[in-house]
Amino acid sequence: MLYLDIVRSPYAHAKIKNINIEEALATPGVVSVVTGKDLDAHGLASMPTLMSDKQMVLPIDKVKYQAQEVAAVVATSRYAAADGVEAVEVDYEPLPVVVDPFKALEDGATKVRDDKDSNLIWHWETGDKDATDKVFDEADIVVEQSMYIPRIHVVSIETCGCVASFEPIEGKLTLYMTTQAPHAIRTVLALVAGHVGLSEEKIRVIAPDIGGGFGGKVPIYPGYIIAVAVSFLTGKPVKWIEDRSENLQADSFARDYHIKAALSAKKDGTLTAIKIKTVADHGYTDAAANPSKFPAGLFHICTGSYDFKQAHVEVDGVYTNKPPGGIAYRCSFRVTEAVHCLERMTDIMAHELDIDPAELRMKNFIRPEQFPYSSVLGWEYDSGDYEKALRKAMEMIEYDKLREEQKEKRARGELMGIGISSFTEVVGAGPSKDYDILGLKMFDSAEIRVHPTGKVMARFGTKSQGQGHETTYAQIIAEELGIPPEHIQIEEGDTDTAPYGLGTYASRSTPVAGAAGALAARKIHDKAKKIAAHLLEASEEDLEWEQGKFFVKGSPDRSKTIQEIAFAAYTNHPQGRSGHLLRPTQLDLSFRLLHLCRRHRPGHGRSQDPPFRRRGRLRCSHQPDDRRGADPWRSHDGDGARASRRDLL
Amino acid sequence: MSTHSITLKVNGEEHTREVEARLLLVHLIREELELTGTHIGCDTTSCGACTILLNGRPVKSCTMFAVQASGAEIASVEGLATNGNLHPIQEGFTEKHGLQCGYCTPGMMMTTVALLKDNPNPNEEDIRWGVAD
Amino acid sequence: MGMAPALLEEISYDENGNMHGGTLMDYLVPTAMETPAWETGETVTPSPHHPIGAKGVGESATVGAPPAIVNAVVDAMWHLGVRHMEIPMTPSRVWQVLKEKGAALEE
Repeated sequence: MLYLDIVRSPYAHAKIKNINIEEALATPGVVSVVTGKDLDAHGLASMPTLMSDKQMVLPIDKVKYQAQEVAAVVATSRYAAADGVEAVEVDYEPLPVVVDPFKALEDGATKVRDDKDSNLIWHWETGDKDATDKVFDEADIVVEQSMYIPRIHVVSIETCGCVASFEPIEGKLTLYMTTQAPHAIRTVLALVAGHVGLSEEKIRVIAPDIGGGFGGKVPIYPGYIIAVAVSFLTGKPVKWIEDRSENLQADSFARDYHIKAALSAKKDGTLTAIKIKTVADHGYTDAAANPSKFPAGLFHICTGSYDFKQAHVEVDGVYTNKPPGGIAYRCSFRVTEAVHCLERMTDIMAHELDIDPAELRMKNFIRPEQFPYSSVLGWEYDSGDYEKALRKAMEMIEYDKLREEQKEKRARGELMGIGISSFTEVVGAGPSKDYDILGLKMFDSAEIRVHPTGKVMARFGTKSQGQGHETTYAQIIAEELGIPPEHIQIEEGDTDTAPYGLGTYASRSTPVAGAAGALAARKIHDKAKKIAAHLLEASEEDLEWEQGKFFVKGSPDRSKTIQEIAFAAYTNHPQGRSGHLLRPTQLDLSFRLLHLCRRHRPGHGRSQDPPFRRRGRLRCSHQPDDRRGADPWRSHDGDGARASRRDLL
Repeated sequence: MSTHSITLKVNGEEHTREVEARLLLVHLIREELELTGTHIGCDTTSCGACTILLNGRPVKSCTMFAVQASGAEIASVEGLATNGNLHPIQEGFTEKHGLQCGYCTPGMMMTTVALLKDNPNPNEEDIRWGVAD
Repeated sequence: MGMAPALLEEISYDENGNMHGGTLMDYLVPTAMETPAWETGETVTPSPHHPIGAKGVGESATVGAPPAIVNAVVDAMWHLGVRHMEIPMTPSRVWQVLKEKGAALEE
């Protein structure tokens, strides 16, 4: 195992005049030092962000934020790597720094990015401005407020890190990694490093139990790419584990929204329109994790739970000399910022009008009979009973009593406050028509296999970080199939075994992958019914289902349990019902001789010249070989079913 | 870098190692002794994921040198279960779902073991102090 | 979890781009001492578009809680002329506001 440690910039903006690695290379245990120029020779010095912006893996000439990766030291131990980091000498020429996004937008401001015309990344707006202004002109009351939602950090208790292990003989990379989205990572890696020979079928990402994520373990950080590159070049496993300071200073941040909002209403408290202007500080690159058509994420959910007639939102994305920000952190895609803004404005309006904040909310909620409801900014709301939920909360806290207590305390000069917020969050990331990551539509998948003894293996494209998917998914499948949850094994996180999915974040696992699990289980249920009909010599129409078994209508003792049906699926399935099964009628004998073609590794195994064109071996097999039909070795997989969220759409 | 010979008992088993003076106790436990149940969360004694018992007292092994533990008796999470039976604290954490991702759970359990040793009947505030300390 | 951004967490920078708080000694994450006890309740409105009616609620606490906490603090001080508080509402920030409004107990 080799260990990777990273040299980081003390400056927020500087030119790199020289990097002297001599002393570092002479440090005991140090194997090599990697710089941006080394990576550039392989086309790996930069990578695309999830918003198709450009992020440096290692810089070639300039650093853009404090703690940015400058060089990487590879050594035989973590301590030796740290010694090597100390010994790397970097000669910087500090450059002017722009930290404030408003200053970054001024004429003549220091330009953060040499490859861009200005610090404005994008301007995005939605809603009808003129119609909104008209509503404001006619309003009885308008309140305005500026607010800042500061940068915060995910602080998952386990920092980021990986072991990248490139196996030169097979030409396969296995990446053990603390990620929330293993499949997406595999695809992005293939896109970033495909040109050097990392083809997607040769990449296996394994996310074992991981110590929290909260959105911060969706992106790919430079350390991952460097670890992969070093393993690829050396053929040895490489471990990179960042420490907490690196995690806090260099990994993606969230929020950093400077908001100016105005809310209009009638005298009676009816909210009529909202206007929001926001400056979004994205740091030196736009590395937000947003659907590509929504650069400000789902910020336009800012009309929340209320029935607004008009709204208008503008957001300017800005570059500054800070680490990349804008990840979805403990909320989906800027919903938190939108909710904070709206709920503050609503409360200010209530106080200005001297209406109880709960009452004002109640008055403006979308009513149950209005669903499905189309918001003025284009969201389709499925269902809800917001008033019922707020009334329940008020009963639980004994709201009226608290208001009395507040009055008494205020009379005594004591300060007491009562706060309410209500929010509507777009969760679940789908639907695929609006949601994607780098163009990958946001669906998720489930694959369920029922074993002959009626036990289940179910695999999903998501990745739990402690949410308890093992319990939730097993319960969903148990409910559909009548198989006890303790006999349902749930697996996630290994891209070689789990079906493709976009991962776990945005409150999406149960609504999306859980739905796929339910749909797949229903396919199995339908198949089980056919087998039960065969076993019971009854027609399917005559069968009824109760938890765990089919029985013939009117004859409850003529029944088959799901476990009996599972066994029959492997031993006694009906003719013509085999579906995905191939039952060979005779043995085909094949004999193959592959010659050994071991070759030395030229050029570290580039794609056009892989280290071993084929894994040579002598094989003699008796196998049913039907190249035109289904793969015979997959025959028993036929008793499973796959479904994806796409089936819903 | 100077090295030192240290001997310490971990979960009842004696180990002697030649270590660099700067080697952190947590790295000795995880990497030399391969007891990876003890985790590292912060490097600054803030989070407690790396908590072990040193002579019965809970300490954060990420900010202590291995050489400082020479001659000591250490208990890590791997030592809680005996003869294949879970420790009552482990059973309690399991029964009450006392974990989410589980990363800090070993530290939480070691802290709880120490807390209950000092105070077998803690109230809620004692427990909050105990695990937050 | 929503209390942390409302009361404790912030990553800030000086004008040279130096980050304040690059360790957990400076960046405050709530411990068992700061975390309140809470009661939860629920009402059920299944999603009509979904095979099991599920909706995601994993992030509810962090999305809804911060403005509720700010609303409570502002509600306590509205009569003093306070209409907004920026987050995180650290003790010193709240005290500063009270002092400006002449309501701080002592300096």
